[in-house]
Amino acid sequence: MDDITNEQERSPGKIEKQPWQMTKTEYEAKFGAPRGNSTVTGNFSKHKSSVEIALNRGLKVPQEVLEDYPDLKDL
Amino acid sequence: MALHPNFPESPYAILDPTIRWFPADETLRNTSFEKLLPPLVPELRKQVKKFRDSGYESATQTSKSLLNWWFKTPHLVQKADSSSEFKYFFSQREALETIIYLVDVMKVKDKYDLIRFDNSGAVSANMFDETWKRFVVKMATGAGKTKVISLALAWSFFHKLYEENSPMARNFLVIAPNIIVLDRIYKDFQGLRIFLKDDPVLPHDGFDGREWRSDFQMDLHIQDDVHVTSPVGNVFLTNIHRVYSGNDIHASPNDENSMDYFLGPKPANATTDSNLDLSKVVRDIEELMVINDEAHHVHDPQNAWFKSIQDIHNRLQQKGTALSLQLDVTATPKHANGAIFVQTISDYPLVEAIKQNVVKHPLVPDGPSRAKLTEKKSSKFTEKYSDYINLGVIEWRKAYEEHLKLDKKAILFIMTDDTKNCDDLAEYLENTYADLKGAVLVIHTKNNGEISEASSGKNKEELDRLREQANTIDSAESPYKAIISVMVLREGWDVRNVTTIVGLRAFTAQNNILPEQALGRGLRKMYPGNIQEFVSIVGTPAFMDFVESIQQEGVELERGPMGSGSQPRTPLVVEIDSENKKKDLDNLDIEIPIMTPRIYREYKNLNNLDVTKFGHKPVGYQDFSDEEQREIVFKDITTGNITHTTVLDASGLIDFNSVAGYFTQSIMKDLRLVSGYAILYGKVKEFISSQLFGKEIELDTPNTVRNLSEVEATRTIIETFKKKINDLTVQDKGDAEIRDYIKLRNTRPFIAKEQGFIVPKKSVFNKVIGDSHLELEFSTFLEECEDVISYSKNYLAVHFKIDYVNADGDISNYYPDFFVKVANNEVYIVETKGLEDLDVPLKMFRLKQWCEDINRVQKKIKYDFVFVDQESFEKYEMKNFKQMVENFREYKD
Repeated sequence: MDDITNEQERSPGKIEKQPWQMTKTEYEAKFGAPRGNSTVTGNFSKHKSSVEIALNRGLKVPQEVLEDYPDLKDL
Repeated sequence: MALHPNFPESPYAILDPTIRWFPADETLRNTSFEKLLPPLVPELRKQVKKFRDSGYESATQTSKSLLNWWFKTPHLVQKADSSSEFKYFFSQREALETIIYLVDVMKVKDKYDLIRFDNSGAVSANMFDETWKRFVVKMATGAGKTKVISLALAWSFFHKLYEENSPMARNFLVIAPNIIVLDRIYKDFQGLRIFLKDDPVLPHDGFDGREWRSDFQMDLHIQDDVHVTSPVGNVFLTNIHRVYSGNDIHASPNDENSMDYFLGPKPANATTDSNLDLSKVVRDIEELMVINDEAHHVHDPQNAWFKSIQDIHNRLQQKGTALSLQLDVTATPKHANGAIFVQTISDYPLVEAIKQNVVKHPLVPDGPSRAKLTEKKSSKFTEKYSDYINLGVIEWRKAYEEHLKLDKKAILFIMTDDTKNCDDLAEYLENTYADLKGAVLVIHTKNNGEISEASSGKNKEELDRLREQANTIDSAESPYKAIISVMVLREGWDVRNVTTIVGLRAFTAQNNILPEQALGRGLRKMYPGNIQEFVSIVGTPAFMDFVESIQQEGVELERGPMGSGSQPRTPLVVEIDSENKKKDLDNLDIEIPIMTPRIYREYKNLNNLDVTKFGHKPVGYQDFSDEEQREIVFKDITTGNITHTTVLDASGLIDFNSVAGYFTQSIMKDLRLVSGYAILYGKVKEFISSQLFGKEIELDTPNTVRNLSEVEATRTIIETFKKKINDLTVQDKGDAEIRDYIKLRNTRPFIAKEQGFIVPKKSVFNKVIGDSHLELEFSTFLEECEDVISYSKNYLAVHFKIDYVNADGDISNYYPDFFVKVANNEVYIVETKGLEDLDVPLKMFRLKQWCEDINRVQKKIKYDFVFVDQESFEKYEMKNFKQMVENFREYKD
């Protein structure tokens, strides 16, 4: 995944962004708004989940993506 | 029947099948055998033991790698100022080993393959309702079922990914029986944290030549928020009520077992889009494993849950595949008639979990205590049962006071018989007991445990609030100290702090509740570690009879005095004796300076390792036959256990890099190095190619790899590198500065296992516990010394340690035993020693150095040390501490 990030930095237009590299707006524009009505504590969204997974992997999530989820900044 | 006398207390100890619990003969006469023991488990345990002892012979390479990683590789967990080792319980290990054994070695495909493990002769094919592979793992409440789920999931994923013709799957449907359990699983799966952060589920990239973490690509879908973008790597996590298969399978009244407290909406019909449509899920994927948590609901082939899984299997079959496995995990895999699910392959019963302190010990009132309790002749519920309620409150209060010292809030849990009585009881408690005013949470359920607006008269917001409060009641922020409910909360309610259960209702067969489920909410441990904890259970005779029936499953209920005047059964709490007016804590307090570390490791020096100057004894290079070269087994050089296996593939190609990587990781692990892998890897390679055998050799040949697996070669590489790295990188700064001070009276309370202790007059602590009899005797000696103002054991909670270089040349931490204050400006650090220890001279050298350092940088207090060996201490009677200092001179000069 690091390679993809580097590739992204070298030629931004070439590699498609991964969900965790998109802002929430970009993600929903591409994949649609959250479906169903999740009832787990804290609620769930696929985009947030992909960002959280990326952070737990140690990937460099763009700052503008993290702005959508202040509670993930400590991860 | 009690457990075997050799049954170990450690939950990590490997359990021999011969010492596992089984019901005694007298129990068998009264209770059918099939209700107590899963029929396949005894034989499976024996076979899995052989499998384990063989080093997992015949398992796939993927399985072996994972088993070795999880259960044979130490995993260090970094905490704030220390690190500790994480280990899986043996019960978790055995569950995984059994699953892998059945799939890899026995190649079990269906019930007929499973029946082969039945030695009782009682199992027949018609006891299995399903036509797909289904395993049930039975583990007591609180024993860590979620970790088993995470390991099984990861294993299935990698097995399918790496092994040709694997029957497993890389997509997973994880089903919870209700939203409470779903919430609990979601906490661990959120952000895939259990895989990526919390637990060592995934080996690091490079382990055994695989890129595990990089290859583990998984997408999480919760309830009906499903968007499948890849045919593999999907976890669908949901509660059963959100599942339907698109075939109009509606919940029936008989589904009450699957519809418990805090429900989400009932399964909707096919025209609603607010459910997880399995038909769409299955349409997008070719492989799937189903995992059911708290799976005792899945027993009835007529219920919607079973039918949903059956439908998945059928749909996959239509596509030419099949459901790879249904894995059910539960503490109580029992049918309505009490018979255990015949598919149970692994069992860690409650009696064993209690013995190993994995769960709390249940405690019931003894005879005299019960004799004081009577049901009053009154139609008013609270009057009728006032004795039992009062006893429950008394016991809860005792626990509450003790646990408060450790910042934990003990919870009282009361079960009543109907919702009106719930409300009356809440009012009674709040009006009668001042400490429960505004602190009682009432949960209304229907008789079957379902919470709904009709039963409670509450709207959805209120229900969500109740659910949130019940889930957070453990925390200090929650005002609630007691919970009242009609229905026992059977599973999923992850409240740890229940210390007292009061049962004011009888349970009949119609209630379909098991004793373990009734106790279950009070069994989870409050504190980490192997400390013994208790849950007190009081109640009406009918309730107590019901609870005591758990003795048939081997659980021994401890009986003790309860009521006013009896002592609380709580863990041993060691704390500052602030309440003791006879103690002058200012005078007794001892101040200990914290120095900056003197010993450190200079990582950049790894570059300076010169493998040509190691000075080791060369290892002979042997010529092995083709057959000997085929399977190459690396063994741990100290234990002889197999740690790593490389099997040559058909072409005979060998990846030497994997072998060099293995050695590099072993060295780094032993030395706890956190960086320098690339440099060290190069050095290891260079050493092997030109120095190890005393000559240049070719690296990438089977014969070389075979030579490297010999114990002498393995030991030479690892031990030589360790010594040389330590020589090169471990540095002594030469001096140290004072960084901070510790005052003993600021030590936070901590719990300790039950053991002997003394009640000191000359210590700030309320108790002095000792790791050995010598320490307690020494403490008694200090109490009696007139020239000792105060003393204290150096508990871990004090956080005082000194860095030193141990016998292996490694950096380690030394914890001296005692502090002794003989004057306001004179303190001694005392080491008491009974057993031989290679590190003692090194520790004492460092302690002497520490005293010199501290005395050089400050003059306010003089610090000195004394080494007290057991033999001399017992032989020579010292009159006072000064005499001891004058006579015990070892390591002083």
